[in-house]
Amino acid sequence: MVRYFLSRLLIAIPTLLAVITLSFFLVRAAPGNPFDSEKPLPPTIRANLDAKYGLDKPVFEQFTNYVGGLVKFSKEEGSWLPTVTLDFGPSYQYKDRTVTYFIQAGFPVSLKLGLMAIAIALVIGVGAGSLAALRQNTWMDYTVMGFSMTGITVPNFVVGPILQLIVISILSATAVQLVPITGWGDSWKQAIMPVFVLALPQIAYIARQTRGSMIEVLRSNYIRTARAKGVPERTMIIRHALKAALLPIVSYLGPAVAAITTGSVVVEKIFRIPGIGTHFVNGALNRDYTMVMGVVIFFGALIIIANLIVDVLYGLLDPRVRAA
Amino acid sequence: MTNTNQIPNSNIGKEVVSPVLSVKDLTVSFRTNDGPVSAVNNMNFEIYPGDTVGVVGESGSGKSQTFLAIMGLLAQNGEATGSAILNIEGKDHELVGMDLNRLNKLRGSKMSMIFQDPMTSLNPYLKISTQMCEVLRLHQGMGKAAAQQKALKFLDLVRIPEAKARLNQYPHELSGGMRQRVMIAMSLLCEPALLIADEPTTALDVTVQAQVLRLLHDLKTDFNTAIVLITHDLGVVAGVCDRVQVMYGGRLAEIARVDDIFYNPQHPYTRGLLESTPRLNADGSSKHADLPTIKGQPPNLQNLPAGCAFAPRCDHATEHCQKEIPTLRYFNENHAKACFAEGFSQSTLLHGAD
Ligand SMILES: Nc1ncnc2c1ncn2[C@@H]1O[C@H](COP(=O)(O)OP(=O)(O)O)[C@@H](O)[C@H]1O
Ligand SMILES: [Mg+2]
Repeated sequence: MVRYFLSRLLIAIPTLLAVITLSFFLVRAAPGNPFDSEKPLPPTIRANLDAKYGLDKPVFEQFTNYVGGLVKFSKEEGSWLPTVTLDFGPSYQYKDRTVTYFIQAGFPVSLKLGLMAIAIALVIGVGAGSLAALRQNTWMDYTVMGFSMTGITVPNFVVGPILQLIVISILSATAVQLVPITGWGDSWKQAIMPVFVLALPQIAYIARQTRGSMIEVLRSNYIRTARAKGVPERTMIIRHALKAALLPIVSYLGPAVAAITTGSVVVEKIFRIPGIGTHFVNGALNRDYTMVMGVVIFFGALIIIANLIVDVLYGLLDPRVRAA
Repeated sequence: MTNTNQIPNSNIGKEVVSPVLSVKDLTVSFRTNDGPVSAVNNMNFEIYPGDTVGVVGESGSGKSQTFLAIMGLLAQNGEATGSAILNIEGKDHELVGMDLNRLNKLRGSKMSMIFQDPMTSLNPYLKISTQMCEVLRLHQGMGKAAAQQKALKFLDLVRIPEAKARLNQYPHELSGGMRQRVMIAMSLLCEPALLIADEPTTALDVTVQAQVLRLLHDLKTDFNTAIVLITHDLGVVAGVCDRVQVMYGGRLAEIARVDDIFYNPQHPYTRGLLESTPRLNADGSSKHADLPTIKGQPPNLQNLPAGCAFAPRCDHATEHCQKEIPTLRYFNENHAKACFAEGFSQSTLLHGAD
């Protein structure tokens, strides 16, 4: 288990490097330049800017400079270990702010949004999926499966605006007060819509998964043994079936974090939430190279860490893996 | 010859004991996309306290479904009708159609069941102690410590070495034989009146098989538990059982004391089974090669013949057999058959009594 974890940790480093490399060159491959604008800059100013940010150097040198500047070690007086700081460089668009500043400012918002979405997805997804499994082939089952099919197939950039439209036009102005359709942080109600839209595909997916694995577990021999022992239905489900049925869900949490992270980019933009995703979209629109890179690397690291945690969690839950 | 449907008490020489399980007209059918499957048809039998009854028959003959129905463990598409009465301390409990809450008070405490595949019958995510203590806490309201103590005692009883350490292990840390012992220990915790063992040794190595059978045999003397031993292997019943019920096509073909099954079988199907059962020679070798097998195919449960289900494969079948289903009749106190043919004398058996 420990060895497995360490090997996964080691693999994380080249994975992250690959993410950095790939995104660096993809960003550079996009047409345009951070200092392009409607009104062309005078050539001398433009050259000065390029020189200041190192954009006049060959692309490969820019790359090594960027990677070299990412991690900074500094040793403080009297401290044993060096302090490691991540430096994503200055934003090209807001020249007096660093990318790290935007990530630090946006992360608490994005994290809250993402965690709420995952929590909601787990609670509703597992609940609805279990219910569908226990009432297999009844209207309840069909309803859950119908909804989840919709949730999986309709993308959030469609669901979001449609819900906003419904609240604005079909319902009234009071509805907008009850369920605000934009903004963040003024009232908890502002979280309802974006969290729901972000969670929807995950609710759908988790419900399907739970239903499938629950049905399989309920057919297994050890559930028959539990019944033969006279274990009441409720105890049987909670003590004997749920854990096995939820293991696939635990391993899905890694991909779920990735999906929620990418989903948050769109959802934050749609609902005007000042999270990392919004900065990312703005950065991409303005060819703010460092901003885009910084967010991609940060998200990449986040997803890798989430997957590591999921692996450990899985091992703790399954005694057969734990022993290995 | 007494031709009566009245099933007599088999415990000869004892005072009249009432059966622990009385099954009447038990029928099990399954709904499937290709129409209903009648897996068990009009079963009638009784099990007496302390008896060990073997249930034999080809695979698919309805052995498991009969007893799963009694335990209320049929698959969702299955339905049982008829009656199965469990008698506990003079009180009758009708099991067919019993509501789940009442059934759960009996299962695991008054009657229990163990299964063919010990590798998958225990919950892989729970420690042995959790799985065993659960039964005691549920049915006897025991506290954690007392339950652990009793679980330990029963693991010793089924001869599990280092029982204390096993309690804290997970099923995957135990061998198949050990797991089946755990299942047996777990099923006996509340000293049930009836233990149903569905092919308990089929999935085990031959040497382990013998040990587990011996264990069941010995436990029978410790507890006054009636044991139903389901098997497709006549060899298994020989050493362990008092009585044998032979099943064919979802019906009982013959019921007899174990000696009569081996030395005086009266149903042509039982005779066919015996002739196709390998026997050990004096030198320990068995002669598999020249064993006769019963000709023909097992019946199609979705389309059973109008008469005796065995008739198409039977050398003694008459026109009568094709038309009418023979009912199970006792022709002496301990021996019943469902067959129209005249009785067979012992000498007609192919490789006789040895
Ligand atoms: N869930 C089910 N659906 C349909 N048919 C079933 C189901 N379970 C069992 N059967 C049928 O019942 C018959 C008897 O099965 P069973 O009692 O398990 O046989 P065995 O004598 O080998 O234990 C089998 O032929 C099988 O086709
Ligand atoms: Mg069977």
